Amino acid sequence: MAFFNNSNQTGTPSTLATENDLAKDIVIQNPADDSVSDIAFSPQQDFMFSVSSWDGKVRIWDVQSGTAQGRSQYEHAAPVLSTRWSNDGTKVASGGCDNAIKIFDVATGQSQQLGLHDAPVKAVRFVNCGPTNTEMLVTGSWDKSIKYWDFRQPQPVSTVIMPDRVYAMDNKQQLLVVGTAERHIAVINLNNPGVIFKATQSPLKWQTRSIACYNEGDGYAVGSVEGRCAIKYVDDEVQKKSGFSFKCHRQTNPNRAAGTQSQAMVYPVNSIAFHPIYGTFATAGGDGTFHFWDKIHRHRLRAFPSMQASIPVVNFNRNGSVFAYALSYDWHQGYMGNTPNYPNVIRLHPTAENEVKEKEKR
Amino acid sequence: MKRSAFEPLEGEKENAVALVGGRSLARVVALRAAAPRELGAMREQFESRLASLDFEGDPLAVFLEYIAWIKDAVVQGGMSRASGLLEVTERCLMYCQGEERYGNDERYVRLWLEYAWTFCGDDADRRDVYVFMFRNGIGSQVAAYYDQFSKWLYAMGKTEECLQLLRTAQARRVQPENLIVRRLGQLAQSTSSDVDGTAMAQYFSESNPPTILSRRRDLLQQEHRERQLQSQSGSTRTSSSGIFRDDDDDDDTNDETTPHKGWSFLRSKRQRDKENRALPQGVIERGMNLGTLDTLDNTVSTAGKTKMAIFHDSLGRSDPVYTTLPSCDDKSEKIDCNFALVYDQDEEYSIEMILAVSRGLLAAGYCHKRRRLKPAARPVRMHT
Repeated sequence: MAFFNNSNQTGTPSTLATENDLAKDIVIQNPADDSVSDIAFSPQQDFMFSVSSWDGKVRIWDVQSGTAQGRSQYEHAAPVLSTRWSNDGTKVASGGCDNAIKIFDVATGQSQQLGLHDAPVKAVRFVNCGPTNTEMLVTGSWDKSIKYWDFRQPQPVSTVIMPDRVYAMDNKQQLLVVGTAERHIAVINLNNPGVIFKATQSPLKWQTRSIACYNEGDGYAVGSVEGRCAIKYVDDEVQKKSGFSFKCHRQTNPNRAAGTQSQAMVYPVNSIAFHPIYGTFATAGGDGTFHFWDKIHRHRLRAFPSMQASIPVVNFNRNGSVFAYALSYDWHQGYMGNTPNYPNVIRLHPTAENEVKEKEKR
Repeated sequence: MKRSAFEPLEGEKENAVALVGGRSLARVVALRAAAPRELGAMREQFESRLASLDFEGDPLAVFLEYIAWIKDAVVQGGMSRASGLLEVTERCLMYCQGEERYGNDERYVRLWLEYAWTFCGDDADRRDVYVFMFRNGIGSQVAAYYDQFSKWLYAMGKTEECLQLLRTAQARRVQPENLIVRRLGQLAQSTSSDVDGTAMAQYFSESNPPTILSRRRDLLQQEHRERQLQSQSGSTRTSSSGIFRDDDDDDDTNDETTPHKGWSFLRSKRQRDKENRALPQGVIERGMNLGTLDTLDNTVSTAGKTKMAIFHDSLGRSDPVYTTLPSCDDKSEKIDCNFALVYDQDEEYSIEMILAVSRGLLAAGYCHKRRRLKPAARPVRMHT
């Protein structure tokens, strides 16, 4: 019987979640007119978040009341690929395929263009740079560079040339990690933001799909298009001791023909997000599942059933009580995988402690 | 009677069917002298009498009168299909079948026996008629029925059944009793006189078909039957009609040798013969091995037939494109990601780039890539 009892109420909870565990999710149907590209929560409010979409818009949602309400929105001239909030929660930044970086003032509802790249902007992050901890915006682009902006002038404060096109970028504390094409990874110490602290290669064999830094700022997780995730530490000694990689977002086809080898269906790891309190992390993939992991004990905390649509992006809110994930086509199969009735949904999952908190060693 | 009176019959006297009671030559000659229209009028007269039949009178008498008239008018009798003798006889038999008073009427039973003898082309057909009579109690008290049936059974080598039938007749006290007793005596004599006792039975059992001039005897019999059939059908069945009975080598004997609707109804001979059917070799009996029955599987032959066309399900569909990669362990991995797009011409494109390129969003520097990647220009489909 124990095999069938997946509910959380039992004494020894299973790591397999059921659809019942997702029943309390708040569902925002059609939050945009096209696929969702990024979700970012406000650092100052628990239930405010911005959503960027391939329809060229950034929308700001508020779910304080338990139902999702659109607060405001602003537009780019082309699909928006990334969005983040400033630390004080007054500004929303975004970058997109119009090569532009835009800043939206939440209080006034005004948006302005901060600057331009030579190619679409793939990722934006607010960072605190230098010894003075000056807040800046860093943007990574397919023009093979990252740029630092200080909001006051249309020229970047600094431009750092990257080994290749920027595909993923994240920061925590003084750590900024940039993943580019050809599996290059550039680690930057924000105390000295103008230079690459460490240039390395992804430990994974295939294209870097997502990067997320640890809360402690001492390492980062890399996800690839080939259902694999690497836990990396900046310090080489720690890396030797604690670094590892693991397989995820793959399904074994139960209907394989007799005599054939079992074949795993492998999906890209589209998004990685760390829980802001517990330091556990979530991965989401093209298979429509997301999982919570504990990198310290190297095990999976909870696996959720497939939502039958790929999850392009996930994120936690500021205290980790809400886990937002989008279901929309992420184009990983090319245009042929797209269908008119492909879902386009954002779901807000209230996290239970046993899902995201690392387990005490027994 | 003058010799000249036979002259109109000279051309057909060989074809005239001999009747037990004989014929009145004067009537035959008179009918032959009559014009076809007169014959038709006489036929219609009989038909109208039959149409107004009621069961208060004696319908059988009218039918028998009609049949006797036909036999005089068409000396070939049942051999000529144009005579209509078969149809009238069957109408009579069926019309009177439900009548209790005719069940053991000697006239009616004799008509049945004549029907079985004259019109039933093969032993199976004849057996059906006899069994039909037996089951429906027709002639159960008429010695002639037992006489003819037992003779046929004896001829078929069924001496045991023949004996049982005659004993049944004896038990039923069928009159004239002495006829039955005589037949029983003859049967006892003949069975004891058989040297090997089973000569007759063997002859018909077909278990080991003897050969005559190195040809199987049953095949010769079959040819003989077919010749008979052709001669029976006479002028109406010409060679050009091109309808033949099935070959005898098709030894499927389990076709409709039994009438439909059980034994309460005997279909007319024309209906029984309507469908081509294989002539059974002899009579089907209990314990006989008919060989394998044709089943659907046996009839399906792969030779000479076009193969069923089987298409791959994915034809005409735009399925996701997978890439299969070997893995370090024994499992191979199938990556749900279009690697043809991701790794194009030694360039590594992110999924977002592919989408942006496909929408024409990338700037001039990517133009040559865009042309190649754009699905409208050349859909990339890679099956690995």
